[in-house]
Amino acid sequence: MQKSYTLIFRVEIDTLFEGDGKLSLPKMEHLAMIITNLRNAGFRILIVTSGAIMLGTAKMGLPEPPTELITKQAIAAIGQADLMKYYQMFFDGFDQMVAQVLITRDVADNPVRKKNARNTLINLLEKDIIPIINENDSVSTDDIILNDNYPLTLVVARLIRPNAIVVKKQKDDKFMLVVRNNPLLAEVSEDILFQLAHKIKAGKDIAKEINFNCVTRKPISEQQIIENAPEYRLNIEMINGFPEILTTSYQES
Amino acid sequence: MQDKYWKQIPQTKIVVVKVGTSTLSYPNGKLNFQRIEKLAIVLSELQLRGRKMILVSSGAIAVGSGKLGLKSKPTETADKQALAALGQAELMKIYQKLFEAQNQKVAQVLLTRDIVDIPERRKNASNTLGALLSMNVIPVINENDTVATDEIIFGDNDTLSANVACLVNADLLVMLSDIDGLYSADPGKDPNAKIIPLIHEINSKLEKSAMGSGNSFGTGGMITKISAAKICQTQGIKVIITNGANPGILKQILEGTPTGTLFFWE
Repeated sequence: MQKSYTLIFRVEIDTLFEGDGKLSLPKMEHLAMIITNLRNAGFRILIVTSGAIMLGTAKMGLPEPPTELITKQAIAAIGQADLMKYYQMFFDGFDQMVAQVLITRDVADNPVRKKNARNTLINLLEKDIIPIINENDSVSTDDIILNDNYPLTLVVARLIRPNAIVVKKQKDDKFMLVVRNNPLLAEVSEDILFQLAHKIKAGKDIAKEINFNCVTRKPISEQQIIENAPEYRLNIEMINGFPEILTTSYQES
Repeated sequence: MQDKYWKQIPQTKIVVVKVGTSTLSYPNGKLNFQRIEKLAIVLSELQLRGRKMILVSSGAIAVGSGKLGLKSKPTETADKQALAALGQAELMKIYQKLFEAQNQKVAQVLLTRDIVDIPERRKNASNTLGALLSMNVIPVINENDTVATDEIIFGDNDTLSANVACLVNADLLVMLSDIDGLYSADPGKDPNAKIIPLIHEINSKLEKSAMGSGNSFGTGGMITKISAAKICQTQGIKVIITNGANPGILKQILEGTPTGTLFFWE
């Protein structure tokens, strides 16, 4: 039986939006294509996304995102539906179904919540539907305060134990790849990412392949990460977080 | 006699409207777009006239099933959750489209029952809803089925709608259903069964008759509606149960035309 390989794809504001705050339709379409292609290659994929506040801001005709917390929450509630509409539209174009999953950061701390959320995610993956996950800003303000979805990404990682997390970099069109059991930050091009996908499908060890294939690779030390902050901040958590993920009891399913 | 109470309904300012799956879809599970459009039109109009309208809507699972092309309703809770995640975004897309045609903005708010129990959740939810109302946006609320399975298992959002009504200090909760109101007995069995037009207090006799009235359509029968009304009673929020086949009835209700069952606390 073919082993399934689970990826969390982390989509940040600048993955989807231009500098002027407008949603980039070509960027989003390209992203949908890349992700669907990875799915077609055999990966199980989950997306953790930001963008609701940006779209809510545009919808309400505000010159820039609000700074007041309560207004941000409301704007997120307005924009989230739009965000999903665009995801749906672009993934539909590649014949890939997506679903909306809104969770709060404490989801993994409450056993019932955790089981429910996990069940939903696994069930969607089994149905070949890509879950698109965002923070439920109406009832929680954690990410909204930080303006960052990396903690949520780690919560999702705790729920489903991915083999790797991918972040699309905007600067040079590379992907940052953090692989479980492999304290290594890989920056790979789109081509390499797909080559890796095919090798995984053929049953090769992804960690070795990444070591071999990545364009640049950085052995991870916390010091280096801090020097490269903020974009490598995720890895501090990955180093600290993944072993914990692997050793604690996540066997219930 | 009941006119005295109905005359006060036009003065209500914050109104929560709850629609169940049976109102939004055909018996075969497919969406009734005409009805949803009418709902969007009437809610937008009422909002335009100065009210603050809030919609609590089920329907995500039905839409998700349709999208996957399922022939029958899923029975497993985990399947229902996945279908809800699939269908909720689609449902919002439809609401957005139909409301925006009326120049009315909507927002999606997904809540769980713990907005009642956890103060921080409660505060956040209440803040979000308050901000949306002040921005003249209609919140479209559903249960967050990903993390909670209450609605799926129990009450088709009846309880949620009552909790929301309390959260926003609503004046009125209207529950649109596939029956005309609360009956005195099972209308299918008893030819003398009549709609009770006015209720001032929920007592054990009433709860017993609801239990025996056989109104167990959808996930939520009359029992969950009575307990929703009970929640509203604690804050003096008026409740109306009526048939949602023609959503235009909301306009008549808010003009003070007696319809269905009115819970007016004394």
